Amino acid sequence: MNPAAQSTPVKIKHQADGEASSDEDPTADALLRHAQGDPDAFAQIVTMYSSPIYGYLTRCGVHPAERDDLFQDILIKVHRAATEHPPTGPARPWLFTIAVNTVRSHFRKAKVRKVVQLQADPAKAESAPSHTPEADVATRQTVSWLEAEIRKLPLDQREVLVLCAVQGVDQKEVAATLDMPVNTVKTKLRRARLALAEARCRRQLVASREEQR
Amino acid sequence: MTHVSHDACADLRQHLLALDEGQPLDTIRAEHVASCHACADLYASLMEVDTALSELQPVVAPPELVVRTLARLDSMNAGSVEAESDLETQPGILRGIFDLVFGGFAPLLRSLFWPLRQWRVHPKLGSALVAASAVCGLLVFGSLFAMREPAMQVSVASPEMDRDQDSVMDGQDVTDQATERSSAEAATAPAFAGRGERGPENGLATAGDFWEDDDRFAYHANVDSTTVATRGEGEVTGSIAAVQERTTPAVREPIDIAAAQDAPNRDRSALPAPPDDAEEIMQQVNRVRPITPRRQLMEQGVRVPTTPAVQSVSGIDTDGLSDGRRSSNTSAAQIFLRNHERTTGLHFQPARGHWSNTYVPGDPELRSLRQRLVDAGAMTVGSTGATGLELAEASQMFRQPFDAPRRSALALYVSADQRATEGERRVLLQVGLRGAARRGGTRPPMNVALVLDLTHPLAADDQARVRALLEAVGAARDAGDRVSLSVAGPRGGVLIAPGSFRHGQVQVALDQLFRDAERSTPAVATSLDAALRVSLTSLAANQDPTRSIGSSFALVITPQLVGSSSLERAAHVGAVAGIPTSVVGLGDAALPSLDRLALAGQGRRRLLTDAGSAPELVRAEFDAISQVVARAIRLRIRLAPGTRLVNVLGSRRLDAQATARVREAERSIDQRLARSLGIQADREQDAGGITLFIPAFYANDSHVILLDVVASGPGPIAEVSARYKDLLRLGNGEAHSSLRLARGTRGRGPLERAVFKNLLAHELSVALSQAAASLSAGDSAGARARLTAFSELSRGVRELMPALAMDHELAADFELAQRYDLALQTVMPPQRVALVDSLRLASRRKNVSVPIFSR
Repeated sequence: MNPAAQSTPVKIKHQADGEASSDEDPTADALLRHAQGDPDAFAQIVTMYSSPIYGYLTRCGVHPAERDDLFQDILIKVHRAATEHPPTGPARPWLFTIAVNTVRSHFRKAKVRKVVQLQADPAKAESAPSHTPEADVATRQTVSWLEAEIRKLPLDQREVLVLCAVQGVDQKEVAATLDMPVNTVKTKLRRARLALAEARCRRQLVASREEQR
Repeated sequence: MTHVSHDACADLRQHLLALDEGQPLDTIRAEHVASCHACADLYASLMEVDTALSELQPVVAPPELVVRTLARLDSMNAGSVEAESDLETQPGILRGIFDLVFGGFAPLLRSLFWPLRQWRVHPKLGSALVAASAVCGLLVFGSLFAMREPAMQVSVASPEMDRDQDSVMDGQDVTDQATERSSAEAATAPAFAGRGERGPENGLATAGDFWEDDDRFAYHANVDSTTVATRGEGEVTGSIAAVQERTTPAVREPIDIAAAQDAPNRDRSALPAPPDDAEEIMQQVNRVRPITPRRQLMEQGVRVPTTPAVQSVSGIDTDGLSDGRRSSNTSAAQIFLRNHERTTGLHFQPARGHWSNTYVPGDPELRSLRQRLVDAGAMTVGSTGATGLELAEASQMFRQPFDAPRRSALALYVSADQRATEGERRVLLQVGLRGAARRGGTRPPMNVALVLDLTHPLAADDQARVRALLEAVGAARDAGDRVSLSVAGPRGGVLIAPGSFRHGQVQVALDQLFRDAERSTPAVATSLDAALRVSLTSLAANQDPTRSIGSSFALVITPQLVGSSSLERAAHVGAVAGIPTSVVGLGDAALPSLDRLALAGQGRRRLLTDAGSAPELVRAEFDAISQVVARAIRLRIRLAPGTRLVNVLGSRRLDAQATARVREAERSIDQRLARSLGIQADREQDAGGITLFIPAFYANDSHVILLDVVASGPGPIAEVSARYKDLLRLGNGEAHSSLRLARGTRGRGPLERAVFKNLLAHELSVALSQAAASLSAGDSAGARARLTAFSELSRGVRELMPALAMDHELAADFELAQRYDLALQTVMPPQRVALVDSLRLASRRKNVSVPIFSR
């Protein structure tokens, strides 16, 4: 398998609904060829989805020290599933479903890991954002603040927000990925946005009170 | 805003849960948002969140991660054992190296390769250490290499020198703190020669202006190969005999000044041979004055300049040429020079009191004129082949022979267009100021009050400009800045309090404002001066006295300023309290009223015609605060007894009211800086003389003030002092300089010619301005007459004064006048407006040293 070029870091465009077919869906075409033994097909999959998957992991709040491993795990699962259980429906939601489930599983295990994990080697772990005054000032900048707040959202709202508003996945595809109705996706998205807006209001109030002291 | 009802707030929240991104609110809920502070906050926050979500940058997977993943998948496909975790894999080559190292010269090499050892145990830490070592090594070797850069050595020889003289006013030894020159007795010193080295930073050339400083001497050469040489113990002037340059390796050899001084005698081969006509020139010189040391040096083989000695012909100081060389074109120049020289029939003014400041920070008219010419497009004017903007930008202020001070914020230079006189004489006295080089670093936190003038409805274009401006302010804001927004007009008052200035809040507020403006106007509206007063009061209450003065300021945004004394008074009161008021005009706002407000508020005036330039305007306004190097500059010019004042060019004597304002402003800044920066207050007394007060002086700026005076004879002419608040050294700064005329008939030297050139620059500026006024009034012939008059003057002066004949700056001005004359002859009617603007811009550019666009 040849190392593939990086996928271009753009949001995924809307695609038409319908059954996956090799003529319309390059993802499905690549999966099909991979299932048929094409040695270069999966490299194409990796090229197309490495950045969206990595971005999803980042925005969902996977710890940097675990992000690389989780990234590889997802692609390995896609690799195996494409061989053993190829998708019968649209390929992209199928692929993102693997990613979503992997992240959910990771967070479930993380709750247990917090109890039993030994202290990590500081040289190996990436430093998390510190609560230095400088970092605190930086997070007041809206975008960096937003990234931190997204990670605090409930997982279900976070998934929808990241896929729809950040990754630019179509709401119908997100509905298929998360196995829920489209209206539920819309509701969760609006709740996530409103929750972020309320958090921002609270932060501004706290900041103005601190200034007045 | 008031909190209306809990039900309405809950209803809005439910409605927002059903609202998709980008969907507007219905009218009823929009009204509620306008009346409920909490809901307005929430809605504004939602807009900001949506904006921020759309601005989130895609995250790119690290390429090395992708490669590792593909490699792992490859190994899986090959059926091999799953690869080890990347954190545990070691490159095989490195393992071999470590084995060799540890098996061999372990103790010594172990310490040398400690970073690589760390790499084995802690790969990431080791990588960082290796990278850091490499960077350090590069820096060290780079520094060593830089030390070996070749340097230029320059040899200079001068056949005669004059030195600085004592204070002309009270006989005391005056130390010029800013220029670090000490006075010495007037003397004619022997020939001077020296050598210096130039590093890669100094611009050195055999022709043109250049400086060199090796802690022994510094020299300055004009394009006509004359020099002013400055040594550590005093200033020497003279004509350069030779300039030689050669490249040597990094020079660290000592320079023997004493030996260098003997160089013209000992090493004549180092100097070029005298010109062929040198003997003839010396004969001409000797016909009009006795043998001078110059002649002696000539006989010693030192090259003398080709500049002829002064001849006095028909009472006009022509700087010497035979009658045969004059042409009929010199008649205009002769008239000009005669008028410039006459001492009778003049009206004299009292040489005391406050005069208007001629240094306007940033000269805002330049920007507005330039923008209009940019908007005029690429259409060439007449047959000139150039656009109006290109023509105007060919007009430049002459380069002044002012060194930037190194140890203070301001340097003071006093010179005149004459060096000597036998009796009563008309003299052009020049006071020059030069600001220190630009200070680096970030600007201080700012406390800004925006005052939006909505006393008249805004056109759609102006609304777009306002939005762009406020958005740019939000984007330029740093974490420590506090910005507020007040409105004058219907529903006026404080719209956004300090600390609450956010994109969402601003947009919501503006939506409401512009919507209200379209409805019927309430009977009661907030006036602009009331809104400004409230804003300034709020700023004064919130500003941090430890911050540098000027870090609080008000910015009035108006489409059409109707000036009033109360508005200017409010701005003045704020400025006196240390809070300047700047003004931004929108679109075609009338400039004179904007200028008056900016001057009253000691601020800046800018014009926003294109919404796209709002970020640049805001950045320039915020950055301007960090470019002030000196504040509260009081220039005092005392004329010697017997010296009478004709005029201060470009200035006017202030009346009592204006004088009181200036004094109040000066004392206020003085006392405020005493409180905030610990700079001792020192402005309680007024010691007489001509006083000009400059509120602030910017880094790298040069400014000249020309005084037209009549001296009664040789001797002291004027003493000038500058007292200022030095923001670089955080202390009181003082600079003193004086001028006296020698007895005799010596001609103009390089400094004197530089002053005379500034007079010609003033003449061109006036001619261009008058041509613009004539053309604007439809009088093309009158406009051409102005420029023709200047062209004749310029040509004639250069014929009468051969030392200026090859001056490229004067030649450029002459050519500029010719091109504008051609433009006036061939301009089409649709281009006239652009040509008027071009003439005005060219006129203003003759008076400023730093383009406004860089500030």
